[in-house]
Amino acid sequence: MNRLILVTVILSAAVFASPSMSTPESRPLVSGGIYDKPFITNVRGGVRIGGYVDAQFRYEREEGVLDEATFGLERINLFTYTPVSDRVRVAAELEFEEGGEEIKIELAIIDFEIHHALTFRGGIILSPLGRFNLAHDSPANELTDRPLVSTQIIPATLSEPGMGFYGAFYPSSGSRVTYEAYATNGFHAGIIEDSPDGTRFTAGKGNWEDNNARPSFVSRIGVSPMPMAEFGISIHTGPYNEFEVEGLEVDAKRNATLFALDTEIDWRYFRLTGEYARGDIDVPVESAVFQENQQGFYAELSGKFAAGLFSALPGSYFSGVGRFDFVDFDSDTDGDSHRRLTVGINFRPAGDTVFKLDWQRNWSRDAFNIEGNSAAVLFSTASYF
Amino acid sequence: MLLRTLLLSTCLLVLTTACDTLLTETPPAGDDFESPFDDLPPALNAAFLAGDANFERPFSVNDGLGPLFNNVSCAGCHPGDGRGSPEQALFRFSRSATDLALDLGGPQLQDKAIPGIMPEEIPAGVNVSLRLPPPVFGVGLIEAIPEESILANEDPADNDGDGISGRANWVGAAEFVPVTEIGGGPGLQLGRFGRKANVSSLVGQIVGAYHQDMGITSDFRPEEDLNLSGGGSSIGDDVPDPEIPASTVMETVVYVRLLAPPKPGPSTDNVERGRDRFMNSLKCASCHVPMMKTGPNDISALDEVDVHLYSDLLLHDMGPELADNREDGSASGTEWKTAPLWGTRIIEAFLNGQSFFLHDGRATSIHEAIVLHGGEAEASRNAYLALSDEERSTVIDFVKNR
Ligand code: HEC
Ligand code: HEC
Repeated sequence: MNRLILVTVILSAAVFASPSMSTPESRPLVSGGIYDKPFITNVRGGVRIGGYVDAQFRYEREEGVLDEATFGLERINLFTYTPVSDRVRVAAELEFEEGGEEIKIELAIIDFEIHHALTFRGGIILSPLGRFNLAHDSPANELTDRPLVSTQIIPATLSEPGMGFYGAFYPSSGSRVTYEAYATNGFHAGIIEDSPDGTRFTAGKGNWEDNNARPSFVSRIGVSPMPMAEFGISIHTGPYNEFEVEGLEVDAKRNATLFALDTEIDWRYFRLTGEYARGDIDVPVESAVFQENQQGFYAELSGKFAAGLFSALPGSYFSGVGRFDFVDFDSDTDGDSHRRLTVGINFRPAGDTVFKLDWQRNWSRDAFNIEGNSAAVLFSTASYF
Repeated sequence: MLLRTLLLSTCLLVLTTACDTLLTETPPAGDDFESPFDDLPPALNAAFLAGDANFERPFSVNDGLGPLFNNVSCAGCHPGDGRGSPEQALFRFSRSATDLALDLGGPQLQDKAIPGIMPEEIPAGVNVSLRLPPPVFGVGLIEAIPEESILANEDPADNDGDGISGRANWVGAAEFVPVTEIGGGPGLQLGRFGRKANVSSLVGQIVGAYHQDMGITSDFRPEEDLNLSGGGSSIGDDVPDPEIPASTVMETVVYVRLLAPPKPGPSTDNVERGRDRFMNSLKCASCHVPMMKTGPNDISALDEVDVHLYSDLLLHDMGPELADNREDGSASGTEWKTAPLWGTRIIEAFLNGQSFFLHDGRATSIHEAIVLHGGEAEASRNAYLALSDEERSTVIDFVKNR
C-alpha cells in the first residue's frame, strides 16, 4: 500500500515534470530549510559550513513555587552543505544538546536533481511532517520554546533513515506546489513501551535499523498560491511494532499514523504560522493504558517594529510575538492535556541574531483532569554563525 | 519625599502582585492531600520529596511494568493522593481467609498486562471483593496510634449493649517487613490499613502495591507475579528483577507517612448542629471516633498528637447490602473498617468534580453513603432517616466540612 502511494507520486511527478509547464524559481523548497540557511562561511571548493547556538536562562514557577532557575546552552548545531556537482548536493547537520551528552545526526543526505520537479534524496532525512519539523532553527524561531504540538505530537526533530523524492511545480507565475515523499524506517515500539506517560511518538524515534522490516511512508505537499503564503498537508504512516519474526507471527501488526496541516503567511510586517497534528495509534487492547488518539495545534503571530531604530545598527529591528499552544495526549478522555500561552518581545541586532524575552503560562491537566499551573520567564539568545 | 516613597512602594506592590498572578500563585494551604506536615526537619523534607517523585512516577513497559498490573503509578490510583474512582478500583479474590487462590492468580485480579501477555480474569468458584483506592494521607498518624488505644474501643461481645461491637483484624505480616516497623514481626499483628484493616504495616502495604498493583519487583519481593491461568503467557517482562531497590520502597513509605491530612473547613451554625447530631443523637461517633492520640514517636509531627480521623480503625458488621462475603484475615464477609472521615471537603477537586464513598465507591454522595449503612450501623442510619431534610443537611454539612 505504502509502496503503491510512493510509486504513484513518483510517476505523477515524472509526468508533470514537462519543461513547458514549469518556470524554475530561486525559492528554496522550504524557507528556512536546509538549503535556505545563512551559511556564513564558504570554504574552498563550495563547501559551506555554518551553524547556530541557542543559549537560555529559564525562571520557572509551578503553583507559585520556584521550580527552576537555570542557565543552559539549549543546543549547538553545525551544518554543512556542498554542491558536489551540478546536480548532486550533500548536506548534513549535527546537533549537540545537554552540554554535549547528546549528539545527534539530524540530517545527512545526498540529493540528486533529475529535474526541479524530481530530485532523489537518500540518507537520514528530515521527515516532511509539518513545516516546523523542516525549519526550526532557534535563530529563526520567534519564541524560545518550540511549539508543543510540533515537539510532543509531531516529535520534532524527527529525522529517519529513508529514501524518496521531492520537487516543485509552478502552475502559474508566483504560485507553487511542492512535494516530498519518502519511504523510511518509521517509528519503533517505544511509542507505547518506552514512555512512562503512555503513548508518546517522541519515544518511538531512533529506528536506525527498521525493527519490523516494513517501511513507513511520509509525505508532505505544500501549496503556495502566492509567494507570501504556504499551506501544507502531510502524513506519516506505517507499522511500528515487531509483528513477524523469521516468518512467524509474534504479534498483531499495529500502525501509527500522524497527520498534519501547517500554514505560514507573511504579510507586510506580520507573520502568521500554525500547525495542527493528529496521531492515531493502534494499541494492544489488553494493556488498556495507552492512548489511541492524540492531537494538538499552535498558532503564532508576530510583527516587526522599530526597524533601524539605532543608527549604529541599521539592520536591527524588534518584534512582538504571541502564541497559543494546545496538545491533548488522549482525545478519548477529559484531561491529559496541556495549554500554553506565550508572549514575547525580541530584538534582532541583525537578521541572523536574536535576543528573546518570553513570558509563558501553562495549564496542564493530568489523566484525572486535575489542573496544574505553571509559568515561566525565559530569556534567550540565538545566532547563526 | 513622602509622595515619592508612597509612589515607589505602590509601584513595587503592584509589581510583586502582578508577578504573582503572572507566575502562578500557591493554592491555599490545606486544600490538597499531598502536603507534608509543617516544619519537618530538612532531611525528612528531602526524603518526602524523593518519595513524592516515586509516588508520581509512572512505569513504562521498559521500566519493568507488569507483566501483569492494574495501573502504572501509585498516583494513577490515588489521584492527588486522595481516593480513586471506580475505574481505578481493583478486585481481590480468594477461596477463604487461608486459601488465597494463589494457584489461580489470587489474591488480586490484574486486569491489565504488557503487550504479548494475557491479563487475568476472575476464575470460577472464588469470593470476590471490589476495593476503591482509599486516600493515602494521614496513614503515618494511623500507624502512630498505639495498639492499646485502638483495642480500647473494641467491644466484640457488645457488653455495653449499644448494638455496636467493633473488633480488630489480626493478620500475619509478610516476612520481608522489618521487625522494627510497626505491624512487622512474627505472629499475628493488628491490621490498620486497607478497607478491612487487612494489612498491618505500611511497608507491607507499599511493597504489595508495587508488586501486585504495578508488577514492580523490589528487594522485598523480587519475583514477578505471573499469569498462572494464561497458558503460554506465564512469562515475565524483559527487565531484570528486582526492578527497584529497597531504598526506593522505603522513600515511598516515608512519603506517605509524612502526608498531612487536610484541615477541616471553617465552622458554621449548620456544621455545629450537624456535629451535635453526629456525636450524640445519631451515635455515628460510636464508630467514627472523632479523635485518637498518637504515642511517642521520633518524628515530632507524629509524636503524641491529636488525630481527628473520625474512625476507630476497627471492623464492624455493616449488614448484607455492603457485604462482599469474602473473608480477609480475621475479618468476615460482612465486616468493614470504619472509614476515616477526613478530606471530604475537597474530594471533588481531585476526582474530576465527582465523589465516591464506601469500600467500592458505590455511593456518590454522603447521603447515599449513610443510607447504605446497615448491620451494626442500622440504628444509626434509621435515626438519620428519621430526621427532616433540613436536619439531615446539617449532618451532611458536618461530614462534608471535614
Ligand atoms: C491499582 C490501584 C492502586 C495502585 C496502583 C496503588 N494503590 Fe494503594 N491502594 C489501592 C487500594 C484498592 C487500596 C485498598 C486496599 C485494600 O482494601 O486492601 C489501597 C491502599 C493503600 C494504602 C492504605 C491506605 C489506608 O488508609 O488503608 C496505602 C498507604 C497505599 N495504598 C499506598 C500506595 C502506594 C505507595 C502505591 C504505589 C507504590 C499504591 N498505593 C498503588 C489501590 C492502588
Ligand atoms: C457501626 C459503625 C458505624 C456507624 C454507627 C456509622 N458508621 Fe459510617 N461507616 C462505617 C464503616 C465500617 C464505613 C465503611 C463502609 C465501607 O467501606 O463500605 C463507614 C463509612 C461511612 C462514610 C463513607 C466514608 C468514605 O470515605 O467512604 C460516611 C460518609 C459515613 N460512614 C458517615 C456516617 C454517619 C453520618 C454516621 C451516623 C449517621 C455513621 N457513618 C455511622 C461504620 C459506621
